Amino acid sequence: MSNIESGIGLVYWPGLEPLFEAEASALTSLEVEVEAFWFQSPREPNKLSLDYAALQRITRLPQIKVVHGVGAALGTCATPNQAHLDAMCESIKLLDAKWYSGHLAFNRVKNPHEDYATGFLLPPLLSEDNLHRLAGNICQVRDRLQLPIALETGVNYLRRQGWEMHDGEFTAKLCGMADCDILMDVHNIWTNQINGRMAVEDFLSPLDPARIRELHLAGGFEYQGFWLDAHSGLVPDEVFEIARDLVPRLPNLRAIHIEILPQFVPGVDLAELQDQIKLMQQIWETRATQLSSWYSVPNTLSSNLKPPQDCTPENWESTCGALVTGREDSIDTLWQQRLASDPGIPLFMDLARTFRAGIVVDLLKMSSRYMMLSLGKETFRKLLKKFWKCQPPQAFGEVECLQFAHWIREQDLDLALLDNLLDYDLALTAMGRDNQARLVAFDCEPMALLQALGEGGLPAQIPSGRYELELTPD
Amino acid sequence: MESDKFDLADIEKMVIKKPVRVTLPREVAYDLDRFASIQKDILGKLGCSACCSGHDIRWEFEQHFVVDQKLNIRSL
Repeated sequence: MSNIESGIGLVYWPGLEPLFEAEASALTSLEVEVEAFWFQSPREPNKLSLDYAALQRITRLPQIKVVHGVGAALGTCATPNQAHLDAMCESIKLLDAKWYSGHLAFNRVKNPHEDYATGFLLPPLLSEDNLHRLAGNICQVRDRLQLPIALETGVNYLRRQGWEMHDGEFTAKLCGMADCDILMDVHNIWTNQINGRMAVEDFLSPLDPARIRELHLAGGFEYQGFWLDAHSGLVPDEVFEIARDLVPRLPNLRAIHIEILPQFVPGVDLAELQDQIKLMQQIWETRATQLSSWYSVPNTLSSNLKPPQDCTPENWESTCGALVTGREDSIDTLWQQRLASDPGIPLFMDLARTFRAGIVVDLLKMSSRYMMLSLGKETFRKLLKKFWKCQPPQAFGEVECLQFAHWIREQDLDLALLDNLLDYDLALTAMGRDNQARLVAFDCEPMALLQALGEGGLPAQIPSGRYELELTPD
Repeated sequence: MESDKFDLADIEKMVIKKPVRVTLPREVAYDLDRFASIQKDILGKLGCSACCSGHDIRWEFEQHFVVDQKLNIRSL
């Protein structure tokens, strides 16, 4: 294991710079979800480019950098995507990152018959067969990135199946086979405990504490009877308690990071966050210097049962993906029917859809508002649902918006200004990628329209005519 | 033989009026959005969604923001 200690830090998002830039900042580590600062070429899906300006800004921050992957999770049986690995290598080099972490989950279904993003991190098949597949893929990623890899323990909203391997045993065996480290997401394992999936100590007991390189701390909230790993603000006391108990047992801990999603940053009291950073610092200081006591392993971990014969890693990923994205695949066998009736499936589906809707209303802001105000929110929701049925999610926000814009234009809605507003939103979005000026035609005075929509309403009267709105870069 | 002459009205119709051009800097475009409390910067929005297994509040916030039929803006 690499000896570089990164220390305590946060997952970086714009808006959190004051905490990183402060001269007296206690933060020594910065984790970057670099794919948020990549672009996918709308016309060439395999062409990925980096937002160099954004990444350079991060590079200038004084903390040690580590990279966290999101777009190509490590818990898939599909072979790694080379274009993604190329962009990841470039990002790692640019940031001089000390290690790479990724999720023990899958977010793409790829087999000879289909290839689509699921729009959400989904749990892998916990079987012996899959262990070998995943270990091989993780080794490939490590060989390409030339960095230590830490596998992040995931949240799993599904019920345990009798034939599944024990969550902790699966993680322990996989890390042993792939010779990789563990990113212990304390909020995830606490979430799994609250939701009845597995008690925290049961999960931890089969793991090798020497492999735990990093901790994630985060907050969440209750939603539809589940506790969500929502990264929605401050870290709950219970999560700190688990970390307080865990850290003195970890001889190779290299970093602890708090995660907060960018959309929740404005609602977080930065002074309270500073207090939590101090608490994190105190816990960090208690890390072990050598192996000591660990949680006792239960007598029985995984059952001797095996998954049903046709429940292969490919079939599992294909079935989960189809259920969560609403694709009409056949659900024939008993395990598929059981999976389909799991209460976690509608939750995954709902959460994946809120992310898709969030991207559309955020990036196609004025068009979305115009549709909601003109057609009513319910009709707009129905349109989104119809779109989701036709198109699988896209990994990149701009591509998702381009697809939605294309689809909504084909619906021939009786909305005179929709085309103008879609052009405007897409131009503004594209400027975020290339910083180039753009000209957008309007059939009415654009500022009156945009100001009204910006206020959350439709203008009473708009002078019609031929207008051009020239959008200029910063 | 037909005359090649046009009257004034025809000439006016033939003149293609240039569209009115309005310039809007990108930063000001974002300031138009009164509901800009959520990350105004485009940075980080175009790429992959963040690492999270939670609920995206942008959708709910946006729905609550648009005015209702009585033109009341709901506060969040």
